[in-house]
Amino acid sequence: MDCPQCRQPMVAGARFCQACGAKLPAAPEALRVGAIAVDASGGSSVINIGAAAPAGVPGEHCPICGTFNRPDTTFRCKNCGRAYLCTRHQDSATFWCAECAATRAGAGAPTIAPAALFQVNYQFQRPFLPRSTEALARLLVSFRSSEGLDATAVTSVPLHLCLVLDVSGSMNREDKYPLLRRAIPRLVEALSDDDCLTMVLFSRGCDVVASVEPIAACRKQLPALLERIDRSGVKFGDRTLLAPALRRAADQLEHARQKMPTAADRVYILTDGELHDAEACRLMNPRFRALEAELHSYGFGPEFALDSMKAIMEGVPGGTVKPILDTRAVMDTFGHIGELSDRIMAREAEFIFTFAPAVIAGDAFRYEPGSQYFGAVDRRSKTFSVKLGNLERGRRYTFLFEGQVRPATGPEEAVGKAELRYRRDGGLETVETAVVVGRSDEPWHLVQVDEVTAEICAVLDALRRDDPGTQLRALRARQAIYRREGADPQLMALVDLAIAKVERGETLDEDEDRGLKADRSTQVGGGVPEGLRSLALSWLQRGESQGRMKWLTDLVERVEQATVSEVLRQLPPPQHAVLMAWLKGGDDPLRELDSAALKAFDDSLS
Amino acid sequence: MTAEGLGDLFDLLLELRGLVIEDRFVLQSLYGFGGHGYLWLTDDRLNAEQPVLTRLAALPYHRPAYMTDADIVRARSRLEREAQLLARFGGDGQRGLPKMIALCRGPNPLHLSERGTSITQTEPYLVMEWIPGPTLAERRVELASGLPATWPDLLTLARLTTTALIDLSRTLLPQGYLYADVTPRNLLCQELAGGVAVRVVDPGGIVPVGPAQNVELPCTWGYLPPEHYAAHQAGERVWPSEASVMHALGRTLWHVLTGRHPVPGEDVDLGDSALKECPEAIVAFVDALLAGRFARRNGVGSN
Repeated sequence: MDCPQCRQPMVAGARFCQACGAKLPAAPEALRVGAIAVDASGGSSVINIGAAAPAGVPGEHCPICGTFNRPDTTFRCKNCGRAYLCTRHQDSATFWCAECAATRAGAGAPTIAPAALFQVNYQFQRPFLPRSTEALARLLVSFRSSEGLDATAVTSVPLHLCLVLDVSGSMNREDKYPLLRRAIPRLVEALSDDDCLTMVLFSRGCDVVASVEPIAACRKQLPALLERIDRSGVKFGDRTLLAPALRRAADQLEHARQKMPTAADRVYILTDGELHDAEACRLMNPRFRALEAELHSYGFGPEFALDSMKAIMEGVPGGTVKPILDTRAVMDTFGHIGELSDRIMAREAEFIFTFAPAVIAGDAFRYEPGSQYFGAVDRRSKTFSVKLGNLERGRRYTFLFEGQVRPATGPEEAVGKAELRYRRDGGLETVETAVVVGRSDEPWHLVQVDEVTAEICAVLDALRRDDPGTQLRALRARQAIYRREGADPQLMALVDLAIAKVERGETLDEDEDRGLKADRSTQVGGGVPEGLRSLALSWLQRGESQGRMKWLTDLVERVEQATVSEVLRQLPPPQHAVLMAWLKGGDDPLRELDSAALKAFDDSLS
Repeated sequence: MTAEGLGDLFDLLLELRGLVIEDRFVLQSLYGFGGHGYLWLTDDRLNAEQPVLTRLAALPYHRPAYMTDADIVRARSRLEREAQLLARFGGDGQRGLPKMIALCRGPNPLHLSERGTSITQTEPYLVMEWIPGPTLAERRVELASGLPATWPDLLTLARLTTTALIDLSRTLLPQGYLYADVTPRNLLCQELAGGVAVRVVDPGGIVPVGPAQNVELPCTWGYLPPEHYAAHQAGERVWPSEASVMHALGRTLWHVLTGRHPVPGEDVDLGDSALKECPEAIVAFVDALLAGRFARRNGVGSN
């Protein structure tokens, strides 16, 4: 919203315009109260209580209990210096945090427990639930390596990386096999010296071209490794049989565990099309579950076997299926895989959430890494648990839980307990967090909604409901999240395209549906405008006409200012067809269109 | 009874097997389910020869976090209302609605103890006559299985259906009620020594003539007049009338005669090839029902 006087953008929750000083109206549906307080945007002496927190506003999790706080509801302990502590942890006599105050009361030196390797945080979609009636609580529980941790003091766990690569006939294209081959040196370079590499190629048969090889040795013998791949007898076969390769990979995992008992292991499968032995692959699932090996897969190009891959990895740690829609990105992806090895801090991780006895357990989801709907948590044991495999430094793991809280008497209620267990250097470590929600019947409490959490809930809701309304809400939430985070441009374009289609009542085609259902790509880019800029560069290099160039550069500006779906709605049909062709294929759209469509496009420009 | 459509709920419902209500009725096997009730075939300790049917409020017991206490109270109220209607209009064991036997209260182990004893120990169970036999929809499929159904069989079924509904309407209308949910799923073909009788089995379809507060409207989309269907889709509450009941009977007879389900919101086709050999008088009768002519001119009971 803009200032009614000077038309400059208003700061959310501010009382006066920062540009002209005019008094500003209250935010819609918010209750304005006078108080000495600082809101999320900082500096306003009047806050709009009840207005939804704008997505991305600063906030932090309390270092003691993990609850999410906006800065105006926290304090900094003057003894230990920790900030963003919940005010309920403040000692009323000393104004220190409860931990420091307790130490002082015991007359000991003030000591704070050293930061754990990981901190478990939580955040409710509605931080206050009605006190006098039952209500559905939706909470995100997330964890990542502790902020205050000295990264250099924590050594990473050595990794045995096992790559299972599709080299069937469909890979024999200039935009696939040569790119994949070029990506391998990048991976070897990125891995750490302590790591080991196994590589299994598959097509009609399978071939182990590297077996638990130390990375140092791989680096020295890289040309020989590449030659083994080039000369492999299984290359470009007429079938895509993954099951034998999975069996060999599992054998290699067991072999590596004997050789490196404290190492983590991780398997990546890369395939570009439908599998010819999907049923046999599904039968391999129990073996990987028993091994508790972390398994991930990449779909190389848009035609990968999403459903088959999801079936293979069901219940296996990791279990993500990510698309590499633009095959040129495989080098970056392999580099990323290699870099991740240096971030592994723990292995054999397990996450457990137990609802409190008075809460009725609902559904469980994972948001990241790799979204998944787990269904209902057992109504009697009220306990959810999942094996996570390896834990990486800097990676966020986020789960969503729903549960019904019963009418309460106090201002707070325990909803459950989150527990993270993992192994490091052979020992088992555990981090626990009690999850507490506010209960209140005050209207200004009850209207508070955390927008970011609400967006994630909307995205996950679409995993269990497939009605168009839910799907559209989820797509819009994904669009907002991806824009904020700067996601893979192809994926953002796909989401924009899907919104446009669902709004028109159309159904998505198979490739689009698959692309949306896959887990998010790790690639980070500049969105649709960035992709169109690359296209403009290639048009410029090959000397496209001035009219076409002007159209494309104008288009870049338009998609920077509006969503792709909005721009699509405004374009005349021939131009609409060109943009759609680019959104669908990601390649040069002028090469996708026939001569009549091209003529119509050029005519529309004049 | 199959697990189809019930998912995880099916296994949970089976936990009720052997439950004894008021020391008299013993739930034996899950018999059926509909929008508003789960049905259990039940032993009556006072009459071991004659099994009865017990109806339990339909709720998503397998997803307890997603139902509120208010949902439970509402579902129970609906069941209690059905019990009152059955007690008032229930049949004699030969014709009309099923005979009401008892409305019992007892514990329901499907509810979690977190809800407190006011919920877990006070479940209403509606015990009523068990009428063995297929529904009209199932009977129509049986008739057509393997061979085209014969016209005499179909016309007999249509006649029995019409008679059953007119008989029920003659009982209900003078007391200010209608049977609003006419559909082949709510009509049951009872095998008797002297032949077959069609009986209305779901008392939930009975509503007062004219709008009433706190009464949930029962309806099955495919059997509503198209204009009522359109109004429901637009979120309006359209109260059933004698004409709409007769229209639903017309659509039900069309289903019986053609073997096909009517499409919600669309007029049924009386020129359908399946009706080529149907006597013209019957087609004209169905046409009159669909147009609501009988109801408008003479009132339901007089035809």
